[in-house]
Amino acid sequence: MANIDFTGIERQMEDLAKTLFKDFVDQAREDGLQFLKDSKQTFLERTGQFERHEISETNYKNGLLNLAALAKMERLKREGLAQVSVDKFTNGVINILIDAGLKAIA
Amino acid sequence: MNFKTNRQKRNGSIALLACVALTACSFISPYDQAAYAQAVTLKVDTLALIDKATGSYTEHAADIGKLNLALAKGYEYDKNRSHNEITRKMWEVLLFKNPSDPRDGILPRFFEEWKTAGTLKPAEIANDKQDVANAFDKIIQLESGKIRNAEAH
Repeated sequence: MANIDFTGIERQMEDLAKTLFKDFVDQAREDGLQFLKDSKQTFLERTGQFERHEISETNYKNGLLNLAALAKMERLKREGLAQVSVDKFTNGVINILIDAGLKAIA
Repeated sequence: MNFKTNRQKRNGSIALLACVALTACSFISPYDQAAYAQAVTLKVDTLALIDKATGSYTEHAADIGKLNLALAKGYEYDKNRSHNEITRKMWEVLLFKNPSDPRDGILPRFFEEWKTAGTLKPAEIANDKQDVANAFDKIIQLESGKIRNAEAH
């Protein structure tokens, strides 16, 4: 049987998962907090504009619905980027296995 | 009695993972340069049209029609890409009203507001531009975050 470095494969897979998913979680947390901060700021600004009659009631109401729509889109974007991370991990695992297999028969 | 050595167990689990990895299909579509460029172009064109809302809606009805056609083409392109459901859903939040979800339809809400009011105030235009730009940015950011073909190999 070819001499495959299983310990090395395990270690590389573990490192890959740690890097990919940690980066993803860190980025998601940062983006989520920023989104909340921006939405709160926008809400306060528009409420002020409405009170000062700078914008119509329709514009104000639409703006509130838009904030909710953007939150929905942000969630969808996060979901998509999570799927990208899983795909990256799968691709990484394939590369690790191919490299290990090629080394074993070299 | 434990018949399997640790080595055998480990080999088995790695072989299983390899099978899963090799047979797994992608969860999400890869990056598509045409889709990315299209979203960027549509964003710029849409924001340019929103800027014209200080003028009357009827005066710009032809421009609005042209933009809606371009947006429909962009949506159709992304809608028919495989494993691209999330991007499709994001376009739908931006482009279509949905009776079962009042949040949907950022852009139709803007056009209705413009049509009903006739013209819009600068502060209203600025708010609408901000929301539409943010919506496009989310679509663009997801596309930009997808795996490029060269990365996949």
